[in-house]
Amino acid sequence: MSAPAGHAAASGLPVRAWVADRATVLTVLWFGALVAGTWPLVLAAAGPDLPLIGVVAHVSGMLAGYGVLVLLVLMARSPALERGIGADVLARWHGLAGRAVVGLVLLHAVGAVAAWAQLTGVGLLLGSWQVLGMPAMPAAAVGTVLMLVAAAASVRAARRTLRHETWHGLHLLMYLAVALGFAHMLAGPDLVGHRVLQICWALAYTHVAALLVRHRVLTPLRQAARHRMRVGGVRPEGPGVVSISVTGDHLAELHAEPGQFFRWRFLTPDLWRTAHPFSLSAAPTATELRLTVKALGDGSTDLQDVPVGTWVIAEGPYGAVTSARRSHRNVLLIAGGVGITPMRALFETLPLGPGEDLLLLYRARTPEELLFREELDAIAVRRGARVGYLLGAEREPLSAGGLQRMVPDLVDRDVYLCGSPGLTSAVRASLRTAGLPPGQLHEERFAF
Amino acid sequence: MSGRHAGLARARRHSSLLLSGATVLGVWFGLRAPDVTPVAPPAAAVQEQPSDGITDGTTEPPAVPVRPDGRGRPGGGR
Repeated sequence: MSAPAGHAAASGLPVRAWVADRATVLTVLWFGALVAGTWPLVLAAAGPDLPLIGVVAHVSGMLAGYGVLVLLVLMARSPALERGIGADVLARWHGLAGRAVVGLVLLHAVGAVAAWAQLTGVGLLLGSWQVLGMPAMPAAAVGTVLMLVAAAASVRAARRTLRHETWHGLHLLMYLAVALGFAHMLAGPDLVGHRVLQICWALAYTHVAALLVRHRVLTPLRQAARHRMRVGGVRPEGPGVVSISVTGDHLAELHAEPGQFFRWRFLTPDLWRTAHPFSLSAAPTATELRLTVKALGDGSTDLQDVPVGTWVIAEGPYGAVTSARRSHRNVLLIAGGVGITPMRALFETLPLGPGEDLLLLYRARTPEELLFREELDAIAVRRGARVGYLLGAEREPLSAGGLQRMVPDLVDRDVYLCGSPGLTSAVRASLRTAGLPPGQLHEERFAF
Repeated sequence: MSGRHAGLARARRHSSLLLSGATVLGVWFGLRAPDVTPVAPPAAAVQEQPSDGITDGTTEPPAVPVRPDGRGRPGGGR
């Protein structure tokens, strides 16, 4: 954990939260993996001969156990990580680490059975049966199966066919899988005989569990009780797009900032099970937060006619793409489609001093798909900022040359970017070609 | 005390309780963990070194007693 956030919240109150930076977190995570992976090698070197496949089983087992901890920490929604690194980066790391953990678990299982079969001289089938009969192994085996089911549901092809709610439900099986495998971890030969290590391992898991309970259960419940949020109004913005005003008490205490998002849980019979992330589409006030939702899936479609008065639980705020990232006088905002929502909030609130320029480029296929046009024009006039609408599907305006023509001082600006994966990927490449230093590009990538 | 401060104090109390609970639970799990691995290696993995039958009368007996399950060290193959 390192740099303090040190930025002023929308309410003007300083936020004295501590945030983690990417380099520190990665260093700690890799160091932990090094220790977890080296320990079985030390034991193997000091102990009696173990077949190579057995050593592989030990190392992969320890790394898998450690990797599960990392997966849980990344998704604990700790503000230090969410604000310092960003939810999108954490989610990508979680996906990468998840694939690695599933591979390690399989390698561990296969390696352990193969080593057992080799040492006992039995076949793989009988060896598997004997291993499964050992104490704590049936639960660990069930946990492994559950983990594989959840992992299979997360494969891209499966994600496309599953409803978000179904995928989410299957993904929650991971918690059960971890619980079922916990006894096996503590009883594993790399920890047994080293009481201090067993206690440290157990402490690591219980503290990560506490972190999850704190930030995923207690904090949302406390916020719900304190802020008593409800849907105050629903306003159509365009085809399949609505803005939802959420009213509540003491909202300034949340220190939400333009550019950030909440995970919103609308307490209707159809929607209460899942929290959906949506950015603030307007500057937050002490009594109202506004989000804008495009109907892209089952949940967001149901939100199009969410009843006024519906109770809301909002987790957050999350997100690191705020005015605190700004390092240059002039700013370029680039939005595509419904990605305009956080950009609109930033356009409205980014500090703009004398001689500074704030330009918003908003890409949409048709004029009908433009959201907030009147609001954006009014903000531009009021603040002395500029807004440009890029209509159509032509790539040229967002190419390196096109951007340089529209924004000659591009490389001397901070650039905030939000849009569909295809658009952001293309713009990212254009900005790189145009020579924008990577540190001046601020974005959070979300699947639309 | 304002509602905000009362809420913060309550949150801090909850965090402390949670941390204490996690610590107690972690230590308990660690202490309750087995000291002999149930996934013990088969006897073949820890067979004694072959003896050449020659002793010089000075050899000390093994310092580490063999565990009841026949393991030579805590870690072994599964």
